[in-house]
Amino acid sequence: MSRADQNDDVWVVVPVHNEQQMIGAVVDGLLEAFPNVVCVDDGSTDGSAAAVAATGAHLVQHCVNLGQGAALQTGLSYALRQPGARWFVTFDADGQHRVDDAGALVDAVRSGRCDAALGSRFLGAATGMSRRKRLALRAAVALSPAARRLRLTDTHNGLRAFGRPVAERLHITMNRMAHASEIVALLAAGPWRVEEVPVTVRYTAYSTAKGQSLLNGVNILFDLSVRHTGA
Amino acid sequence: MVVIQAVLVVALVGVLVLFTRREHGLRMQVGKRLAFVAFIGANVYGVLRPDDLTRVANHVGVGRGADLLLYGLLVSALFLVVNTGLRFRAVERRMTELVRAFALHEAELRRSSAPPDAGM
Repeated sequence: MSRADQNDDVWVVVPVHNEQQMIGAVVDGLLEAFPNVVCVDDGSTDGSAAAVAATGAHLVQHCVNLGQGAALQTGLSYALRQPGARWFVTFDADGQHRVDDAGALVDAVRSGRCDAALGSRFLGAATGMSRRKRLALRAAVALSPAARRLRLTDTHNGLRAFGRPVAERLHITMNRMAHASEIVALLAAGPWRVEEVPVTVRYTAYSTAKGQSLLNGVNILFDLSVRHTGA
Repeated sequence: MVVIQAVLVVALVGVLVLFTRREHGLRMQVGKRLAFVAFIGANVYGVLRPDDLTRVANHVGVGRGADLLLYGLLVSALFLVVNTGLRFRAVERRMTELVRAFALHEAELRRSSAPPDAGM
Protein backbone atom coordinates (compact mmCIF):
# COMPACT_ATOMS: atom_id res chain seq x y z
CA MET A 1 0.00 0.00 0.00
CA SER A 2 1.54 3.30 -1.04
CA ARG A 3 1.66 6.41 1.08
CA ALA A 4 -1.02 8.03 -1.05
CA ASP A 5 -3.44 5.11 -0.54
CA GLN A 6 -3.13 5.35 3.23
CA ASN A 7 -4.16 8.98 3.04
CA ASP A 8 -7.26 8.65 0.91
CA ASP A 9 -9.40 9.84 3.82
CA VAL A 10 -7.34 13.06 4.06
CA TRP A 11 -8.20 16.29 2.23
CA VAL A 12 -5.58 18.98 1.84
CA VAL A 13 -6.89 22.52 1.40
CA VAL A 14 -4.57 24.97 -0.36
CA PRO A 15 -5.67 28.61 -0.66
CA VAL A 16 -4.14 30.08 -3.81
CA HIS A 17 -3.79 33.70 -4.74
CA ASN A 18 -1.46 34.62 -7.61
CA GLU A 19 0.90 31.69 -7.10
CA GLN A 20 1.33 30.73 -10.76
CA GLN A 21 5.07 30.23 -10.34
CA MET A 22 5.01 27.79 -7.41
CA ILE A 23 1.59 26.20 -7.23
CA GLY A 24 2.16 23.43 -9.76
CA ALA A 25 5.23 22.11 -7.95
CA VAL A 26 3.59 22.47 -4.53
CA VAL A 27 0.51 20.51 -5.62
CA ASP A 28 2.53 17.80 -7.35
CA GLY A 29 4.56 17.40 -4.15
CA LEU A 30 1.39 17.09 -2.09
CA LEU A 31 -0.26 14.61 -4.47
CA GLU A 32 2.61 12.17 -3.96
CA ALA A 33 1.50 11.72 -0.35
CA PHE A 34 -2.11 12.91 -0.38
CA PRO A 35 -4.43 11.88 -3.22
CA ASN A 36 -7.07 14.47 -2.33
CA VAL A 37 -5.98 18.07 -2.75
CA VAL A 38 -8.36 20.97 -3.26
CA CYS A 39 -6.94 24.31 -4.40
CA VAL A 40 -9.11 27.35 -3.88
CA ASP A 41 -8.14 29.97 -6.40
CA ASP A 42 -9.03 33.22 -4.68
CA GLY A 43 -9.64 35.41 -7.71
CA SER A 44 -6.08 35.20 -8.99
CA THR A 45 -5.20 37.51 -11.85
CA ASP A 46 -2.32 35.38 -13.11
CA GLY A 47 -2.32 31.84 -14.50
CA SER A 48 -2.80 30.16 -11.11
CA ALA A 49 -6.09 28.50 -12.05
CA ALA A 50 -4.63 27.02 -15.23
CA ALA A 51 -1.59 25.83 -13.28
CA VAL A 52 -3.86 24.04 -10.81
CA ALA A 53 -6.01 22.60 -13.59
CA ALA A 54 -2.88 21.04 -15.10
CA THR A 55 -2.39 19.02 -11.89
CA GLY A 56 -4.58 16.32 -10.42
CA ALA A 57 -5.94 18.62 -7.72
CA HIS A 58 -9.54 19.72 -7.40
CA LEU A 59 -10.04 23.35 -8.34
CA VAL A 60 -12.57 25.69 -6.74
CA GLN A 61 -12.56 29.25 -7.97
CA HIS A 62 -13.66 32.44 -6.25
CA CYS A 63 -14.71 34.76 -9.06
CA VAL A 64 -13.52 37.75 -7.02
CA ASN A 65 -10.72 38.00 -4.49
CA LEU A 66 -12.04 37.58 -0.94
CA GLY A 67 -8.92 36.84 1.09
CA GLN A 68 -7.10 33.84 2.47
CA GLY A 69 -9.52 33.20 5.33
CA ALA A 70 -12.44 33.01 2.92
CA ALA A 71 -10.49 30.72 0.60
CA LEU A 72 -9.69 28.35 3.48
CA GLN A 73 -13.33 28.19 4.51
CA THR A 74 -14.44 27.51 0.93
CA GLY A 75 -11.87 24.72 0.65
CA LEU A 76 -13.00 23.18 3.93
CA SER A 77 -16.65 23.39 2.88
CA TYR A 78 -15.78 21.64 -0.38
CA ALA A 79 -13.72 18.95 1.35
CA LEU A 80 -16.41 18.31 3.95
CA ARG A 81 -18.83 17.43 1.15
CA GLN A 82 -16.57 14.77 -0.29
CA PRO A 83 -17.43 11.17 0.58
CA GLY A 84 -14.92 9.50 2.86
CA ALA A 85 -13.28 12.71 4.02
CA ARG A 86 -12.21 12.28 7.66
CA TRP A 87 -9.09 14.41 8.10
CA PHE A 88 -8.42 17.91 6.89
CA VAL A 89 -5.13 19.69 6.35
CA THR A 90 -4.48 23.33 5.52
CA PHE A 91 -1.33 24.01 3.54
CA ASP A 92 0.15 27.22 2.12
CA ALA A 93 0.58 27.57 -1.62
CA ASP A 94 3.91 29.35 -1.67
CA GLY A 95 6.06 26.30 -0.99
CA GLN A 96 7.09 27.23 2.54
CA HIS A 97 5.70 24.03 4.09
CA ARG A 98 7.07 20.50 3.76
CA VAL A 99 4.77 17.66 2.77
CA ASP A 100 6.42 15.41 5.38
CA ASP A 101 5.38 17.85 8.09
CA ALA A 102 1.78 17.67 6.87
CA GLY A 103 2.05 13.89 7.26
CA ALA A 104 3.28 14.31 10.83
CA LEU A 105 0.30 16.53 11.64
CA VAL A 106 -2.12 14.01 10.16
CA ASP A 107 -0.49 11.25 12.22
CA ALA A 108 -0.97 13.36 15.35
CA VAL A 109 -4.73 13.73 14.82
CA ARG A 110 -5.21 10.25 13.39
CA SER A 111 -3.56 8.64 16.42
CA GLY A 112 -6.22 10.27 18.61
CA ARG A 113 -3.63 12.23 20.63
CA CYS A 114 -5.40 15.46 19.76
CA ASP A 115 -8.38 16.89 17.87
CA ALA A 116 -6.34 19.53 16.08
CA ALA A 117 -2.65 19.67 15.31
CA LEU A 118 -1.00 22.98 14.53
CA GLY A 119 2.39 23.40 12.95
CA SER A 120 4.90 25.47 14.88
CA ARG A 121 8.06 26.86 13.35
CA PHE A 122 9.31 27.78 16.81
CA LEU A 123 9.24 24.19 18.05
CA GLY A 124 10.72 23.15 14.74
CA ALA A 125 12.90 25.16 12.46
CA ALA A 126 12.41 28.24 10.39
CA THR A 127 15.06 28.77 7.82
CA GLY A 128 15.81 32.23 6.55
CA MET A 129 13.34 34.08 8.80
CA SER A 130 14.16 37.70 9.44
CA ARG A 131 14.51 38.93 13.02
CA ARG A 132 11.65 41.39 12.54
CA LYS A 133 9.35 38.60 11.38
CA ARG A 134 10.33 36.47 14.37
CA LEU A 135 9.58 39.33 16.74
CA ALA A 136 6.22 40.03 15.12
CA LEU A 137 5.17 36.37 15.32
CA ARG A 138 6.26 36.18 18.96
CA ALA A 139 4.26 39.30 19.70
CA ALA A 140 1.19 37.81 17.98
CA VAL A 141 1.39 34.83 20.34
CA ALA A 142 2.00 36.95 23.43
CA LEU A 143 -0.98 39.19 22.63
CA SER A 144 -3.45 36.33 22.14
CA PRO A 145 -5.27 35.09 25.25
CA ALA A 146 -6.44 32.02 23.30
CA ALA A 147 -2.86 31.16 22.32
CA ARG A 148 -1.74 31.47 25.93
CA ARG A 149 -4.58 29.22 27.07
CA LEU A 150 -3.60 26.56 24.55
CA ARG A 151 0.11 27.15 25.29
CA LEU A 152 0.90 27.77 21.65
CA THR A 153 4.21 29.03 20.35
CA ASP A 154 3.09 29.92 16.83
CA THR A 155 -0.38 31.21 16.00
CA HIS A 156 0.23 32.20 12.39
CA ASN A 157 1.33 28.97 10.82
CA GLY A 158 -0.62 27.92 7.74
CA LEU A 159 -0.02 24.21 8.34
CA ARG A 160 -2.79 22.61 10.40
CA ALA A 161 -4.62 19.29 10.60
CA PHE A 162 -7.91 18.36 12.24
CA GLY A 163 -10.66 15.81 12.14
CA ARG A 164 -14.22 16.17 10.93
CA PRO A 165 -15.77 17.43 14.20
CA VAL A 166 -13.39 20.40 14.31
CA ALA A 167 -13.72 21.09 10.57
CA GLU A 168 -17.50 21.15 10.85
CA ARG A 169 -17.37 23.63 13.69
CA LEU A 170 -14.89 26.01 12.10
CA HIS A 171 -16.77 28.84 10.48
CA ILE A 172 -14.08 31.24 9.43
CA THR A 173 -15.64 34.66 9.09
CA MET A 174 -12.43 36.66 8.92
CA ASN A 175 -11.95 36.88 5.18
CA ARG A 176 -8.48 38.33 5.25
CA MET A 177 -5.46 37.49 7.34
CA ALA A 178 -7.08 37.68 10.77
CA HIS A 179 -8.39 34.13 10.21
CA ALA A 180 -5.28 32.64 11.83
CA SER A 181 -6.12 34.28 15.15
CA GLU A 182 -9.76 33.41 14.61
CA ILE A 183 -9.02 29.71 14.18
CA VAL A 184 -6.95 29.68 17.37
CA ALA A 185 -9.76 31.46 19.21
CA LEU A 186 -12.34 28.94 17.93
CA LEU A 187 -10.13 26.04 18.99
CA ALA A 188 -9.60 27.56 22.44
CA ALA A 189 -13.34 28.14 22.87
CA GLY A 190 -14.27 24.55 22.01
CA PRO A 191 -13.69 21.31 23.90
CA TRP A 192 -10.76 20.41 21.65
CA ARG A 193 -7.39 18.97 22.53
CA VAL A 194 -4.89 20.99 20.56
CA GLU A 195 -1.30 19.98 20.02
CA GLU A 196 1.56 21.80 18.38
CA VAL A 197 3.84 19.81 16.14
CA PRO A 198 7.28 21.08 15.15
CA VAL A 199 7.47 21.91 11.46
CA THR A 200 10.03 23.50 9.22
CA VAL A 201 9.12 26.67 7.41
CA ARG A 202 11.36 27.57 4.52
CA TYR A 203 11.63 31.26 3.85
CA THR A 204 12.78 31.67 0.30
CA ALA A 205 13.10 34.89 -1.64
CA TYR A 206 9.80 33.92 -3.28
CA SER A 207 7.80 33.26 -0.13
CA THR A 208 9.23 36.32 1.60
CA ALA A 209 8.19 38.51 -1.29
CA LYS A 210 4.75 36.86 -1.39
CA GLY A 211 4.27 36.84 2.37
CA GLN A 212 2.29 39.49 4.14
CA SER A 213 3.87 42.69 5.27
CA LEU A 214 4.31 43.08 9.01
CA LEU A 215 2.21 46.22 8.72
CA ASN A 216 -0.70 43.85 8.23
CA GLY A 217 -0.57 43.23 11.98
CA VAL A 218 -2.43 46.51 12.42
CA ASN A 219 -5.07 45.40 9.92
CA ILE A 220 -5.46 42.10 11.73
CA LEU A 221 -6.00 43.74 15.11
CA PHE A 222 -8.58 46.04 13.54
CA ASP A 223 -10.44 43.17 11.86
CA LEU A 224 -10.50 41.13 15.06
CA SER A 225 -11.87 44.00 17.12
CA VAL A 226 -15.03 44.06 15.05
CA ARG A 227 -15.36 40.30 14.66
CA HIS A 228 -18.73 39.82 16.25
CA THR A 229 -20.54 42.86 15.00
CA GLY A 230 -23.10 42.24 12.34
CA ALA A 231 -24.87 45.43 11.38
CA MET B 1 -17.09 68.81 35.04
CA VAL B 2 -18.84 71.01 32.53
CA VAL B 3 -22.06 69.56 31.14
CA ILE B 4 -20.76 69.46 27.56
CA GLN B 5 -17.78 67.36 28.58
CA ALA B 6 -20.04 64.75 30.13
CA VAL B 7 -22.32 64.76 27.08
CA LEU B 8 -19.41 64.38 24.64
CA VAL B 9 -17.75 61.61 26.61
CA VAL B 10 -21.03 59.69 26.81
CA ALA B 11 -21.61 60.17 23.07
CA LEU B 12 -18.12 58.96 22.14
CA VAL B 13 -18.39 55.94 24.44
CA GLY B 14 -21.75 55.26 22.77
CA VAL B 15 -20.02 55.15 19.37
CA LEU B 16 -17.47 52.71 20.78
CA VAL B 17 -20.22 50.48 22.17
CA LEU B 18 -21.99 50.49 18.81
CA PHE B 19 -18.69 49.52 17.19
CA THR B 20 -18.14 46.45 19.34
CA ARG B 21 -21.71 45.34 19.97
CA ARG B 22 -22.58 41.83 18.91
CA GLU B 23 -26.20 42.33 17.97
CA HIS B 24 -27.82 45.05 16.01
CA GLY B 25 -31.49 44.37 16.46
CA LEU B 26 -34.65 46.26 15.68
CA ARG B 27 -34.34 48.38 18.83
CA MET B 28 -30.92 49.60 17.72
CA GLN B 29 -32.13 50.41 14.22
CA VAL B 30 -35.13 52.36 15.48
CA GLY B 31 -32.88 54.18 17.96
CA LYS B 32 -30.51 55.18 15.18
CA ARG B 33 -33.33 56.51 13.04
CA LEU B 34 -34.96 58.46 15.85
CA ALA B 35 -31.59 59.97 16.74
CA PHE B 36 -31.15 60.98 13.11
CA VAL B 37 -34.54 62.68 12.98
CA ALA B 38 -33.82 64.46 16.26
CA PHE B 39 -30.47 65.62 14.92
CA ILE B 40 -32.09 67.05 11.78
CA GLY B 41 -34.74 68.77 13.90
CA ALA B 42 -32.12 70.31 16.16
CA ASN B 43 -30.24 71.55 13.12
CA VAL B 44 -33.31 73.20 11.61
CA TYR B 45 -34.00 74.87 14.93
CA GLY B 46 -30.38 76.03 15.19
CA VAL B 47 -30.52 77.55 11.71
CA LEU B 48 -33.78 79.38 12.41
CA ARG B 49 -32.81 80.63 15.85
CA PRO B 50 -29.02 80.91 16.11
CA ASP B 51 -29.26 82.96 19.29
CA ASP B 52 -30.98 80.11 21.06
CA LEU B 53 -28.11 77.86 20.02
CA THR B 54 -25.65 80.23 21.68
CA ARG B 55 -27.81 80.30 24.77
CA VAL B 56 -27.88 76.52 24.95
CA ALA B 57 -24.13 76.49 24.35
CA ASN B 58 -23.49 78.87 27.21
CA HIS B 59 -25.77 76.80 29.37
CA VAL B 60 -23.77 73.59 28.89
CA GLY B 61 -20.40 75.32 29.19
CA VAL B 62 -19.47 76.08 25.58
CA GLY B 63 -18.59 79.62 24.52
CA ARG B 64 -20.31 79.96 21.18
CA GLY B 65 -23.20 78.25 19.42
CA ALA B 66 -20.83 77.53 16.51
CA ASP B 67 -18.60 75.51 18.84
CA LEU B 68 -21.52 73.46 20.04
CA LEU B 69 -22.43 72.81 16.42
CA LEU B 70 -18.86 71.68 15.75
CA TYR B 71 -18.97 69.20 18.65
CA GLY B 72 -22.27 67.85 17.44
CA LEU B 73 -20.85 67.42 13.95
CA LEU B 74 -17.82 65.61 15.31
CA VAL B 75 -19.93 63.04 17.12
CA SER B 76 -22.25 62.53 14.15
CA ALA B 77 -19.33 62.15 11.76
CA LEU B 78 -17.81 59.44 13.97
CA PHE B 79 -21.16 57.74 14.21
CA LEU B 80 -21.48 57.82 10.44
CA VAL B 81 -18.04 56.30 9.93
CA VAL B 82 -18.70 53.46 12.36
CA ASN B 83 -22.18 52.75 11.06
CA THR B 84 -21.02 52.70 7.44
CA GLY B 85 -18.12 50.43 8.37
CA LEU B 86 -20.49 47.95 10.02
CA ARG B 87 -22.78 48.06 7.03
CA PHE B 88 -19.88 47.31 4.72
CA ARG B 89 -18.89 44.32 6.82
CA ALA B 90 -22.39 42.92 6.62
CA VAL B 91 -22.43 43.35 2.85
CA GLU B 92 -19.00 41.75 2.58
CA ARG B 93 -20.17 38.77 4.60
CA ARG B 94 -23.11 38.23 2.28
CA MET B 95 -20.90 38.58 -0.77
CA THR B 96 -18.57 35.96 0.67
CA GLU B 97 -21.45 33.51 1.09
CA LEU B 98 -22.58 34.21 -2.45
CA VAL B 99 -19.15 33.78 -4.03
CA ARG B 100 -18.55 30.63 -1.99
CA ALA B 101 -21.86 29.05 -2.96
CA PHE B 102 -21.19 29.84 -6.61
CA ALA B 103 -17.62 28.52 -6.45
CA LEU B 104 -18.69 25.23 -4.82
CA HIS B 105 -21.54 24.77 -7.26
CA GLU B 106 -19.31 25.43 -10.25
CA ALA B 107 -16.60 23.08 -8.97
CA GLU B 108 -19.10 20.27 -8.50
CA LEU B 109 -20.57 20.79 -11.95
CA ARG B 110 -17.09 20.71 -13.47
CA ARG B 111 -16.27 17.50 -11.61
CA SER B 112 -19.45 15.72 -12.59
CA SER B 113 -19.24 16.71 -16.26
CA ALA B 114 -15.55 15.81 -16.65
CA PRO B 115 -14.63 12.20 -17.37
CA PRO B 116 -13.27 10.55 -14.20
CA ASP B 117 -9.67 10.30 -15.36
CA ALA B 118 -9.41 13.57 -17.22
CA GLY B 119 -7.06 14.87 -14.57
CA MET B 120 -8.96 18.13 -14.25
